[in-house]
Amino acid sequence: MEKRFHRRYPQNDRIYLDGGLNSKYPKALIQDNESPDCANVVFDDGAVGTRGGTEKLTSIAVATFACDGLYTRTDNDGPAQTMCAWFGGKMYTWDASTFTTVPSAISVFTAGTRVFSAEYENYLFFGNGNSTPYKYGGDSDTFTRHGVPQPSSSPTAGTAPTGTGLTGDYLYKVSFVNSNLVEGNVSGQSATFTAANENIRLTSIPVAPQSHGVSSRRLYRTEASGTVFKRVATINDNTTTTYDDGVVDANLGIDAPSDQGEPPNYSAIIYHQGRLFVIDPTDNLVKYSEIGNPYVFKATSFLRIGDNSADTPVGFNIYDNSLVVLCRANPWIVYMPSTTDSDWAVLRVRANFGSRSPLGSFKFDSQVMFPAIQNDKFVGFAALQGQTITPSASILTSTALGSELQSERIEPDIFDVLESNLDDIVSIVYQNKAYITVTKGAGSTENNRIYIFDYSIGRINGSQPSWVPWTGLNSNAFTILNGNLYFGDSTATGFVRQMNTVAYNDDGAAIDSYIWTKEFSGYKGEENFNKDFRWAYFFYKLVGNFDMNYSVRVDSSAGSGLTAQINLDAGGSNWGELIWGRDNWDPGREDGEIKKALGTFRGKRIQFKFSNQNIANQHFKIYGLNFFYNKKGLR
Amino acid sequence: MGLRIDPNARFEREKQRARQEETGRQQLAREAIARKFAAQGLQGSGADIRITQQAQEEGAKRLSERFGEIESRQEAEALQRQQIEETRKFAREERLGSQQFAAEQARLGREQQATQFAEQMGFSREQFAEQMGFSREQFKEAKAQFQKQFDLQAKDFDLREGLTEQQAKLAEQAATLAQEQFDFQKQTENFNAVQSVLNQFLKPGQTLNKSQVDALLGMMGPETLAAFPDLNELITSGGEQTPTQAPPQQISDGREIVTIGGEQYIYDPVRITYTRVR
Repeated sequence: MEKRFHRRYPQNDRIYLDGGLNSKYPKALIQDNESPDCANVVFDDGAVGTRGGTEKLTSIAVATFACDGLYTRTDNDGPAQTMCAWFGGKMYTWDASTFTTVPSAISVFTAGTRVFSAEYENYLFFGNGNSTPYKYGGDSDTFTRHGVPQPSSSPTAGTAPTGTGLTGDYLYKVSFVNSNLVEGNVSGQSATFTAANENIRLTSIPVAPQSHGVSSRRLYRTEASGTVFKRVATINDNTTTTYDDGVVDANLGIDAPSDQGEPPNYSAIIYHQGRLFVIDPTDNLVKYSEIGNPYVFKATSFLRIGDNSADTPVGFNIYDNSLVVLCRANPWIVYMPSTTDSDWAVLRVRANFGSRSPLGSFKFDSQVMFPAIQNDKFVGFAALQGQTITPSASILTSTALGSELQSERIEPDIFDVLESNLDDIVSIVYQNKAYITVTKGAGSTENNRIYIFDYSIGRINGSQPSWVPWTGLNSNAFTILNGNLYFGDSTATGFVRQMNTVAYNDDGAAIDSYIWTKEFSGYKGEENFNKDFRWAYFFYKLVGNFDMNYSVRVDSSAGSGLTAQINLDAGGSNWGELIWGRDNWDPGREDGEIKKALGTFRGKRIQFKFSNQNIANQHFKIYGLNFFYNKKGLR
Repeated sequence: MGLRIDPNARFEREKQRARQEETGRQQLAREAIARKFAAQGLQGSGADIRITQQAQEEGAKRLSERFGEIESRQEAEALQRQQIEETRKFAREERLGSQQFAAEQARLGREQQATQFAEQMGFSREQFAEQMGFSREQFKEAKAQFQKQFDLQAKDFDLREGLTEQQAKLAEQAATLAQEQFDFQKQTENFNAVQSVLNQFLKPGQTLNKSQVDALLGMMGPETLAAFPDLNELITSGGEQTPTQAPPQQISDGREIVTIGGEQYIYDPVRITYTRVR
């Protein structure tokens, strides 16, 4: 006969609390491990606990601007990494103690305009969509233009004071060469000079500004009365302005290069298969560099993706060996069976979502997730998933883990994201979690919340990935430097902050960390029965000599419930306090389980809350719980 | 003469055919490229444009090479045709010129004999010189007539043969050549006339005074003198005996037997030679 008293729920094992936020469904209907309301917690080792704190990288603000971009350059000579932060149109580098302005990177971009970057060939390449793109090669290099500019003037030809041998009509052109020996387009041609058995002196040979990154220049000349320009000489500096040409026609070198174009003023950039792929916002084309040569973008190196009206390219990611192009109405993939562009195939992904967030996508578990819009409305986060190496439109679909959208369970939160700021959604993956920063709530003007998408596979019950919001963090950009996660402020503070510090405070401020459990009805079939809730067992980690709160409420009460404390002191002897011969050494405990009487709670459903009391430097970690109740009659 | 087919038409047809074939090939190539890139979703991409452009350039290059080959054959054939035309034209002009000259020479021979007869009848040397001058005028007139006739014939030839402008130019060059040949013949005639005069009026061993020589040079003209550098020797060495008048006798092959100074000579109007009859 079924026991009506002292019923333990669940009968076996515990209720774990690692399911994450589920704000879409009523709190009585969600899974046992899900939470209808939580904030600033993490789900690790099957437990839920307070997230780590944040700490300013420097106490002095870099500037009074929001962060427009935060990237890390990894040198190919070693493990050295450099953080590059963009504030107010300037780039700053972090040298482990201070931010330093990169002199040649001052005001090249516009304050408040997002900066995009990709790393290739030991350079970070930067673009913001409406200014000339640049590259940065570390401390030993200067901040110079991404491409190799075409000289704006041509040399002047005249009679050299000495030398003979050139007779006829000659024309000259000149080109710039960067420090990687990549040559740009040649200049316009000089005025015709008619030589009469003499050498020719070139003057006014154009010199490139330092920001062009030019280290040498090449001179080209026609044969007498010719039209084809052939190389005369290389000037191995960027200062000399004269050159005496006595090279006879027979000794001229190779033809002048052509189609050595510079990259467009790109709004998104990614590296893949030896090329840089960028989006040119002026014509909505996806353009790409030469293979192995990120400095040259040829005239026909482009892809038309989308309809160039409602479905225009916004951002990139990589899926297997394919380039994912996120457009406003639909994601596309460019399947690349080889490095030859004529072999590529552009496939429209069978998905009902587009994206407006160039920096919002990320990879997890062989999937590409992106902020999704449908009919121009933000609807959540969707993931691309395929099963084979060679994708096709039929097998590459928007994944369906219970839903087409990965974020269905936090739909109310999603619908509260400010759509005017969708292009500010930025994400990064760090320690098996995705960090996604958004602007939430009407009236907000900048990113003010981070959603954590936890897809780690080490969780006890193997349930689906979980979501949790982190509040109090205004992040505009993320980067990982030397294994640590950082973000730049979305507010005009000029700060970069390290995340997940061991101190449980946000620069001294308390972290409001809490989690409400589901509203439990007891065993199946007893939903409508009244119950006397008697006891609860909490299994938790002893994390410090302070208390955590737990609260209890029944039957969907909107109040804060009855709150009590649990001490989290691990106990034991403190080193330096124990007296030999008088005290016994106590090593203390790591975890604790406590039985708490629930008093006079009577109702059909019961709900628990755990928190760090919203006090700085306090935190908690709950593994699971059980509760006991007496089954009463139907009410 | 029947209708002649323009020899260039065949090559134009070949070119037209090559152009049509290349256009067809280009269309097929473009469609194949378009299908390929459409299947790959790359329609309108840079690779599409570049590959299509490359195919067009290859097609244009192929067509150009084929045109070059056709034009080489066309030129070779034109050259061969031109050589044949020139050979034919030369032979035709040679024949016409020879006939004309022979007739003229015969007429002059007759006039010369008439002059000799007039001299015998008491004409002075001056009168003879006038007569000779008159003869040169006649030569000139004959030459003009000949030129006119030749031009007419050439024009007629052009019309009939349907020569191209280039061929007409060649024909003009040939006419110039014929003119030079005619001038040479005229000089030869002058020389013969002078030789004839010398034969008539000079005794063996007789020398001419300066005024006589000047008169003779005036008769000959400077071009004749330049063409015959040994004329002075002839003048200073004297001529044969004064010819006596005798009516010319026609022989079957166009040559004539003339009597000069009691000796009979066979006069060949083509080769312009006098051969003493033994």
